[in-house]
Amino acid sequence: MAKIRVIHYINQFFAQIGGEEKADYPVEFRDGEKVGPGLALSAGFGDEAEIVGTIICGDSFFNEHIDEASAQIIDILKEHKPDLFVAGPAFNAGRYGVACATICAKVQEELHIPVLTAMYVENPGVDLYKKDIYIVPTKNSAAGMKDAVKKMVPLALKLAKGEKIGASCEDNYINQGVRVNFFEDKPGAARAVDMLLKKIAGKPYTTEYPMPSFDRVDPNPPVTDLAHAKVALVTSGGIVPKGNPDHIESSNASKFGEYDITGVDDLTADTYETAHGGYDPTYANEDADRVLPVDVMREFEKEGLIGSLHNKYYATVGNGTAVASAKKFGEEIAKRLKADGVDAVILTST
Amino acid sequence: MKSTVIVTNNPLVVRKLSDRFEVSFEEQGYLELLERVRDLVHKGAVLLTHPQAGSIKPGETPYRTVMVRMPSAGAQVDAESLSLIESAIATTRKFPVRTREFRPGSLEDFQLVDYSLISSAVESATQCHS
Amino acid sequence: MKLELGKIFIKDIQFAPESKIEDGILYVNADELTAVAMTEEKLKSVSFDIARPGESVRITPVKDVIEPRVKVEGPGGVFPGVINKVTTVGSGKTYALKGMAVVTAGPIVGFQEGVIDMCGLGAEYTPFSKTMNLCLVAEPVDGVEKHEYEEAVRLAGLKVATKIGELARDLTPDEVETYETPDIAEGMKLYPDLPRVAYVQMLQSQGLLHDTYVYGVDAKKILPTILYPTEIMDGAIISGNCVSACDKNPTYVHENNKVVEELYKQHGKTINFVGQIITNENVYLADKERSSNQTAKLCRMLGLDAVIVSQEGFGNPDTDLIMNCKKIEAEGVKTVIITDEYAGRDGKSQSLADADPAADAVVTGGNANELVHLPKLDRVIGTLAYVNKIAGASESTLQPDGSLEVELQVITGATNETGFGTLSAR
Repeated sequence: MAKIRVIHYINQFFAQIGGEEKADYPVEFRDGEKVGPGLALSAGFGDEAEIVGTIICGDSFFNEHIDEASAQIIDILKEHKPDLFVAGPAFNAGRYGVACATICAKVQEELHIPVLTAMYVENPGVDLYKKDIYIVPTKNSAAGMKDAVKKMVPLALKLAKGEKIGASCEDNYINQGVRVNFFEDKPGAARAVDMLLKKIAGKPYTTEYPMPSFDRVDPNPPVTDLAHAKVALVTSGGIVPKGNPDHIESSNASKFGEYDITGVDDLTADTYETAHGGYDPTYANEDADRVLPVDVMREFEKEGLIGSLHNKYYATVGNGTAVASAKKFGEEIAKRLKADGVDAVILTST
Repeated sequence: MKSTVIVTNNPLVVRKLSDRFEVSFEEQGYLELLERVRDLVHKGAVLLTHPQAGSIKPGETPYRTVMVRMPSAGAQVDAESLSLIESAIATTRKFPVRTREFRPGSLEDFQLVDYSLISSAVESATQCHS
Repeated sequence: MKLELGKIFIKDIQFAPESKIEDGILYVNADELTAVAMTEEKLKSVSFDIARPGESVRITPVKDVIEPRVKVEGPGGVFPGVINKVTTVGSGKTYALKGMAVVTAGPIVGFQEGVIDMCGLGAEYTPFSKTMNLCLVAEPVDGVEKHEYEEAVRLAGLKVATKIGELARDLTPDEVETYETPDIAEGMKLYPDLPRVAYVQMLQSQGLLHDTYVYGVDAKKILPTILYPTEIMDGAIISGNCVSACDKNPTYVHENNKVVEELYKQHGKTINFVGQIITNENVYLADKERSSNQTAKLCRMLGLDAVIVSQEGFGNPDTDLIMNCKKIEAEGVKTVIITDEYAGRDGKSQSLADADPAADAVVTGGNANELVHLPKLDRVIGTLAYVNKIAGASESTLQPDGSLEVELQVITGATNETGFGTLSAR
């Protein structure tokens, strides 16, 4: 049987071209070459498959020119006709993960060839495309390369051969939100007792059917004395000082901003704007108070309805932002608000 | 049991129970029946039986019968009933309805099973008051 | 309470002039068994057949599966309150015929009965492809009501199983296993440091054709109660229902409850297995509230640290399952629940009809909607006339080549919710 032909996608960092300063490196194809992690993958494939070329692309380049980069990559694949397309592993690198997942999904959709990528489960690329493609879960840093390759190789070969893929826990991929049957070694009753013993002992266990997630937060008790409360504004609607000084991304934000509004009574089209992508920003840019109501809060402050408006507000972009990132931002913002003695917060979105 | 009403689309239930209960029958589909019950809940009716069938999956039977207590004047919506009926409707919508498979022979069986489920509730309803 | 369970391994079943067990072979006189079954007046005719593991045989429509047992020492007899007097059972000595089962078949409610394949893909999913099956196919007299037919088949099966069990009365078992549950006070003294664990078993009880019987009483009418787990080994719980084949508990599963077995394995080592709480799954909402309240109360009364809860059926029993789980957890008792899933043929739908964050430890018997293709088999015991109507089948189930395209739902015991099988899902 002829060897399975594989084309491998990696970023500028794993191609040893450079780090962040080279992230705008354009699409490059190295015909017949295995680069970086491709060497380990290739060793794993043995006689069964062969990496016939490597595509390298900077993470910023890909994410800022998704259509252009994807089209170039698809043209390369059309020309070289691989049986399988593999991207990554991307570990916890957010933009690399998004690039790997995005290009895999596009290749699968347009060329109908099997694709595989790998990354850390909290990488934002996972949430974007886990339902569409197979993503192997990896550790959160490149220290997990060996383990990642070990899991990727058998699944990649199975996909390339068109074999039936088992349940996510059997074939090592991130659950696609589809329930797949398989036979366990032990009967259900024995598994239940094992799980119970762990639960009694307070040890970690894995439920076989995670309940649909209920990420509900119990509301805090109401503010009893609003007239003396220090109230802060926090938004995921992307309101930033004009020019977006912290370069908060329009989607999948990697940070939040803290902005001083001492003496600011009204947000105007000249002073504030939204960094948020994915919706029509016209009205937010015309008058950012529509998303972050500084004007109304100042009136309340004057009327004595609230004690004071906190002199800093916090903003990030909710569009496509990973839950894990949002959680991290929230925790940090809460810490700072507490340190500043804020009593209540108004959260706004788009 | 004067405020108790049996809401059904199953003709067998009408035949068997209308001498003892107020039976509200309409010829309609499974989902439409549930929606009719939901409308009653919106007006304050309280569910007395679970709106989902046991053992028969949504989409497999065309018949459904639900027992409700009709509201008294000015009744509030019963939150628990609303949540039950809404989730039953949501579950039903998820499963494909296999109408073309409902052939005469099995229709009688489906009527019988639906009737047997509601008649077990009748037993409970007539022995306890809660 | 202490029960010695003697196991007699049956290697084959053969028809013969004299009914007896010799060298692990069960010989049965079919006429004799027919006479036993025909004491049920609602039956017009019965026929017996034998299906062996690996044979190209399909049994359908399957109603119940029963393991023959006989009580040789101690109070009462098997299937108390139904076949024998309602004496409290579960102590003394009982023999079980292992490796075989009595399988009853008949089209009671056309669409609710099951399929057992003795070979091929279907055999992998049903536990009863591994047993020697003595099949009893029963036809009703004309004009009989469905529930009368169900009752007649149920009782005929139990009578035949009891008759066969009697053949083992004077034999010496190949293996003996002893199960013992001390009373509560004694248990606390014996295992003061071990976590106190019980098994909460939910019994299908939604009305005619959906019933389970405990000591002969319809489980719909019970308040949750406590059993010594050895009681069920003598047939204190029997199946009387015609719900989906994949996740109903045939009598065999009650006699051989795997949760009970696994908890006994840990008893006195890692846990103190205090007992078994049985509760029901009624359709009336006030009944659901009452039963789950009482179940949680019993957990507290028994001073439990943890329980395993098993379910039977799908749909509104999911509500009972979640109510039990929530209320038991609220008493500070840790739970693991066993269920199965109806996630649709594509596996994409929400699997349970009800859900709660308290259910954070779930064991699943798999997605019952998964489509499987069962090959044509040479021989059918029963009839294929109803196979298109079984839950989980469709108009196109019976393919032109004689194979079946069905959901796992139709296969008896495929996604059992007492953890009987190894099937799972992710």
